[in-house]
This record gives sequence, structure tokens and C-alpha cells, in this order.
Amino acid sequence: MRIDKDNIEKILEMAIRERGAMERMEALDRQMAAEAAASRRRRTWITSVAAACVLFVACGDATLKLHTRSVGNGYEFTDISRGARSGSIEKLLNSKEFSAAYKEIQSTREEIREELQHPSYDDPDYLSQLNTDLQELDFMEAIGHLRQGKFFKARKELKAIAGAEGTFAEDAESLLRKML
Amino acid sequence: MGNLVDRIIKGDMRAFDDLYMKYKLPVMAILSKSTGVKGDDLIDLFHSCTLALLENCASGRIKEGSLPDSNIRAYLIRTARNIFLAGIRKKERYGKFMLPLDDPDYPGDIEKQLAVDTADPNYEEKIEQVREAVWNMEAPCDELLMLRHFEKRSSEEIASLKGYANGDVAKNMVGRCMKKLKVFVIGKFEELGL
Repeated sequence: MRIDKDNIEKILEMAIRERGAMERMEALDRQMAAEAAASRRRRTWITSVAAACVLFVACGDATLKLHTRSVGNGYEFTDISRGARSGSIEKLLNSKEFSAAYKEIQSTREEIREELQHPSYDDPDYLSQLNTDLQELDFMEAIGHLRQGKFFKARKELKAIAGAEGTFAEDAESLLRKML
Repeated sequence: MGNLVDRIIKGDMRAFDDLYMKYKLPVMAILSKSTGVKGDDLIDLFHSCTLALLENCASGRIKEGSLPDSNIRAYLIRTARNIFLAGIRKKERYGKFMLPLDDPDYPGDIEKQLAVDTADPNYEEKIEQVREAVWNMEAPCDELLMLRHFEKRSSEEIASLKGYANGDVAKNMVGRCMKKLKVFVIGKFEELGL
């Protein structure tokens, strides 16, 4: 093919189409790359969360020394102490009876709040123990959601626990690190 | 909706986007295996075969209804392989073959494709000048000519998009831009003795 004055317009039109198509294809390439990167990030996050959950279940880590923080204030075996109560919640969580476990958590939480409003003892250690028990219940609820596969809910709860800087903040942070 | 190629022939550029996104990865995967081309060269090769399809739609070589969706992948692969083989013979990058695809026998006959390039001894150099002129067009000509020749917009549509009084004004503007571009390129040819 010769290029001269007679066909230059046709060649120019082709070159304009070529430029238009090249610009469009490059924009599509960028769009596809961005979508692929976003998809990779989503996959990585979900995989990490799932892996963390599997790790918990596999290691029994979700049972997480639930009593260890409750002891030490001298009231761990009193009637109101959640140390003993959390044992039953723990059993329910381990047997995957989540609804029953959450019901138990809720009723215990209400009892403790009631007790905090009208404490049987004025001892500051006793009040501190009740607060610790409340935090423990929150933590157990988050573990339950995690074991159920409700990762987003669990993550939100763990963040709140970590942010509150209470007794279980360190544990919550450790779990969040594994989830991310 | 119609098939993708028919929509491209009618000037529906969203069909071009759909086609590109649908076939890019599967066609590149096959080309990579069959030719061994990787990375940017593979993307260039895919761009070239997609451009060939677009150009053949624009020139009327592919007629409405002649390339159903089920045959697009095979068409792109066949075209890309021809471009690849022609590239090996000429030892050049695939991008060089975007414009010479105008040969009526393309993509079937590689010998003829190569002969096309030798018919004009200054062919490659002229094509480079044309490309440079088109890629360096200034506003508003770049946008107007792109709307007219790439997006196939009517004069009325261009007038409405660009805020001109009517289609005649837009037509006049597009015509002037094309004339300006033509004069510039021919001037360049003369200046370089091509």
C-alpha cells in the first residue's frame, strides 16, 4: 500500500481510531488491574480471618483461660462470681450451643449489672471483680461469634474490647492481629 | 442487545469495552502458551489483535452478523498469531503492525501482509509521522476527531456534547480539524522528502 495525498485521509482516520482504541484499552487495563488488586485484598483478608478462626478451633484457643483474669480479687467463688458461671458458658460454646450460650451471657450480664447497682459488699475489690466479669462476658460473646463464623461482628466486638483497655484488651488485640 | 461485534459496528463503544474485558485474559493465556510471549509484549500483541478487529469492523470488512460471539475468541487468537508470525519475520514489535492491517486479505495471508509494507518504500516512516501527528493533536481537534472517527458520533451528537449551535457547526469544525491535520502531515512528508 502506498501512502499519498489520495488516501491520507483514510490513513488518518485509521490512526485516530488506533489512538482512541489504545487510550481506551489502557484505561480498561488500569481498571482491570485495580479491580484485581481490590479482589486480592478482599481474598487475603477473608483468608486471614478464616485461618485465624480455624486456628482457634484447632487449638481450642477460643476457650482462652476464661477464668484466669477473674481470679485474684478474692471473690472468684462467691455466688455472684462469673468465674464459675463462665464455666457453663464455656461448655455451651464448646458444644456449639451458641443460642443457649448467648442467653446465658445476657442473663448473667443483667445479674451483674443489677449487683453493681446494689452491691452486696462495699469492698472495691469486689466491685472490680464484677467489672472484670462483665468484660469477660463481652469477650466470651466475641469468641462465640468468631467460632460461629461471624467474623465481622466478632471483629467489631473485639475492637471495642481492645479499645476499652480493660482486663481482656490484650487478648482481644492478640486475636485481632491474627484476624488481620 | 445483539452480539458484541454487531454493536461495535453500530458504534457502541461499551460493546468494545465488554469485548476487551471478556476476552483479554483468556486470549492472552492461550497466546502465552502457544507463542511464549510474556509481559508487556503479550499485552501489545493482544492490543494489536483487538485493534485489527476494531479496524475491520470500521472498514466494513467484518459485516454485521458475520462474527457471532462464539467466534470472537478464535478470531482474536488467529489474528494475534498472524501478527506474531509477521513480527518474527520482521523482527519488530507487534505495535508496528497496527496500521498495515488494512490489507484486504489480512489476517489470512502473511506474505501479502509483508508485501503491503514494501509497496511504499517510506511506508513505516510515513506511518510514524501520521501517528505522531494524531497523538499530538491539540484541543478541541483531538476530542472532535475522536468523537467522530472513534466513537462514530453523528454531527448532531457532537454538537450537543460540545455545546455547538447545531450539527452543521460541528460538522464544519470536524472537517476543518481533519483538513488541518491532513495539511500538517502532507507538509511533514514533503519536509522529510518522503
